[in-house]
Amino acid sequence: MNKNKIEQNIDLIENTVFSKIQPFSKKAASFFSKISQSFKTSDVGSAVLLGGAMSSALTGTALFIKNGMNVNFNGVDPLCSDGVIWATLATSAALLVANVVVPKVSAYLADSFEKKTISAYLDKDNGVIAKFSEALKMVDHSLSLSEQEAVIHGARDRLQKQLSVFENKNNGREVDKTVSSLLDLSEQVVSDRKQASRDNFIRRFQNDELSISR
Amino acid sequence: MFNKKDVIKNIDVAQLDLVMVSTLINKQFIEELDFRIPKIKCLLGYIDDLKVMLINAQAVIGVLSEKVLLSNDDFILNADEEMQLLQEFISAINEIYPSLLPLYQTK
Repeated sequence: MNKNKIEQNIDLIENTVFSKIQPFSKKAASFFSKISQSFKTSDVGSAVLLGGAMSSALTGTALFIKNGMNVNFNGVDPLCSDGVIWATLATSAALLVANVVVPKVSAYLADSFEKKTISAYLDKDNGVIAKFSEALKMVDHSLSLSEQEAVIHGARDRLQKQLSVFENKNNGREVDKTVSSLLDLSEQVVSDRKQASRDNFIRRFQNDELSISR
Repeated sequence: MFNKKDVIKNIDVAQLDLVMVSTLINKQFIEELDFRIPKIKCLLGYIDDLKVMLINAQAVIGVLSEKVLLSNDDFILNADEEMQLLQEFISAINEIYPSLLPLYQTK
């Protein structure tokens, strides 16, 4: 690839960054702060939405920590209930995103969700706080990044094991299925099959125009 | 108000786009990129902006997924903002991807 062509591509990239990518992130930030606001009026629904956003963001964040690898930080006790797992996942996602492993990435999202919102979320359930503070101890800031990763991977493996137990029992609540499907989804990230299926999807999608009925 | 099927379809497309771009930007740059050249160095800043968008989009997908899950009907109320954001995300990705692709070692 010659130098001119490279610079042309960078011009196009710059264009999209200014016209679409930066505006998108601004809009998204105002959308998240709205969710934070509605959380303060103690709407249970928005607490769930907050958790959804956090755990989903965690899954995405992890893409940047390690090449295509998903990381879920969790100090889940194997005996705790499915609801606690969900809450712990969401809160640890929040705090992970806010403080622990990826401070650089955190700035973007934690600013959108106010710190007050996150602590209010923690206040809803003392059990979650206890679990989480134990989990936090496992990830020590003095550890090297690779050691932190090892702790996190261990915790993730345990969480996944736990989720598969729930699936086998077939009595997990619906929210746990979402967590598990998010995990499944991120597992697929690392596989090349995903790319292939995407190509197929696009081919089909091009013939099937996206229609949104309002 | 949105048809649940359309919402799920939108989530699928956005999630797949997200995976596609994330996979790409985790690869190595082509060797021809000389980061001593200021213009080429700027690329790194643009990639950072792109990463921020991916994080935000993933969070929006999370919110929307929860709404789908919480709804017992075939329709989702109050998802205009999320649907709009996902549309904008998909459009931005489709625009930037062809320019990014040749800059990475994809073999």
